[in-house]
Amino acid sequence: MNDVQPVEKIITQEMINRYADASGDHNPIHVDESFATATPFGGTIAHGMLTLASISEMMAAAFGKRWLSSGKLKIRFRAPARPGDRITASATPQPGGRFSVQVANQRGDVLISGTAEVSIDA
Amino acid sequence: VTTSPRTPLPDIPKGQEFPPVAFKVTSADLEAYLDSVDDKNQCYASGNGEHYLPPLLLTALALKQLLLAVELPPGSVHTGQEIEMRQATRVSEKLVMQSRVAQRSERAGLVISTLEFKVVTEAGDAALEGRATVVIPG
Repeated sequence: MNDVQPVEKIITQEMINRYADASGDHNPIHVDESFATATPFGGTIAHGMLTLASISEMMAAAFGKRWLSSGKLKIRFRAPARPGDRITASATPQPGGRFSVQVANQRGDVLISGTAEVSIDA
Repeated sequence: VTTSPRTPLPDIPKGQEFPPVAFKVTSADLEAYLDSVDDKNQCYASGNGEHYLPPLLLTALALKQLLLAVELPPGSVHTGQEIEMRQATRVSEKLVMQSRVAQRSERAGLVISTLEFKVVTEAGDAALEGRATVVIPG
């Protein structure tokens, strides 16, 4: 089974803004500090799909085109990443060729959890 | 300037299908995405000058197409995501997204909707299938 190396990165507001432009998702909870401050989150949060991209990056680094052509991902968003968070995506092998995957922040809070797998026939 | 009316997601019943939407992902789209998520993997280059698309870029742009028809009320939270890649897709490839509301339920004043989508190639082959679950304040 391929070795899947963790991916670590720091989420910044600039990154969130760039993701908003790239994805077309300009929900003010992500990009408008004054709006976001008045919400229960108390400030802007990263798009879940931006945080999730670190799992796909990790799997693509390990499996290359096989991930692009046969990868499966099933996750739950459990908590948001915020500007300044250092997030780490990691994978733990499971029986049957699956991986348990997660993204956690610098405090160990799990932001995303789920499973990923890649077809061995691809 | 005219805008197309969008239907709030909580008002859309289970089973409703949306009209297919054709789209292409450009090199600029790919570069902007990879820059925004800080992904430096080399696997997106096919070796003959073409570029493969990251699955989550395809997912994000498919959801973007969907949001042209669907309004997400303030406070909506994306709680779950499933994707299954069937084949790698490339920059400038003609793609079509098909989508529908797969599930809709109400609980504790919240509406929970699951959007199911499928991206197919011009030849009609499935490239990616996915489900996004969204919780919306009632």
